[in-house]
Amino acid sequence: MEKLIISEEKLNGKVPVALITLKGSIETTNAATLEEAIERVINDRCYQIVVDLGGVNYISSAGWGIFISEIKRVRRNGGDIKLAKMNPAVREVFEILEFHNILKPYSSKEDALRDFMSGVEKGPETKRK
Amino acid sequence: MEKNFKREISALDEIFSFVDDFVTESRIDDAVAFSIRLAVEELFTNFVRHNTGGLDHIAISLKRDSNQLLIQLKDFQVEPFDMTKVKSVDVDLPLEKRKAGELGIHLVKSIVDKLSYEYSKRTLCVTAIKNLEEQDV
Repeated sequence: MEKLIISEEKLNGKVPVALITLKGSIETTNAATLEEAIERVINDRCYQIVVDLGGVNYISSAGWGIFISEIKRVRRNGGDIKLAKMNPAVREVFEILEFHNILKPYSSKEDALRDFMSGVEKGPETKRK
Repeated sequence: MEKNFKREISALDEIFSFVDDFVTESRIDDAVAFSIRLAVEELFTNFVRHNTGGLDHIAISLKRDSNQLLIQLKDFQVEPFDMTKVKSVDVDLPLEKRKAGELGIHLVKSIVDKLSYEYSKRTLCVTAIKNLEEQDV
């Protein structure tokens, strides 16, 4: 499995947006490093986060669990997490877990960033019974 | 292929290498390889976290015949715990009611065609079977 490489960038537009770029695999032994990266951004009071998954070839439940816990914290602060450029295999797991009900996927990081910058898109509503 | 792995999460690196060797030797395509990695990781981490007692190792076996893949994990000298009977996570719940855990077994059940549990003589065995389409091999 490929090692997980994480880079973070803060974009200071009308609203501050963090771009987290991931490469490699997200699994049980390294999911905590993703959690730490998102928490660094949140602790810096940046709650608009784009995660570029274009270089990610594998995410297990450990990785998806991080998104579940961090999105709650981000939305409590009025922000959102947007996932961009999932490859087909990763996207299939995203669909199995019905994550499209809580996180809107984007085909490119530019689209996701544009939504934040325009302030139009707030992400999908959570599904209610 | 069969091999014993230490009962600890850090064994996953070695387990992924084992899976990669199997995938290469068996000439399995990328999509099915993804499913094998996912099933093995989720089952192994579940064993490590939830099985009570046990020796210091867990056995993983991967086999392929013409149209099926068989993934089997065995844990020795453990108490019975049937993960296949664990209530599936409700993926329709709204975000605020979702939990970060409990996703793994749901994923395994979704990506394999059959998941079975056996317990005999204090050995717990979980077997996952994935049917192969012609284009998978």
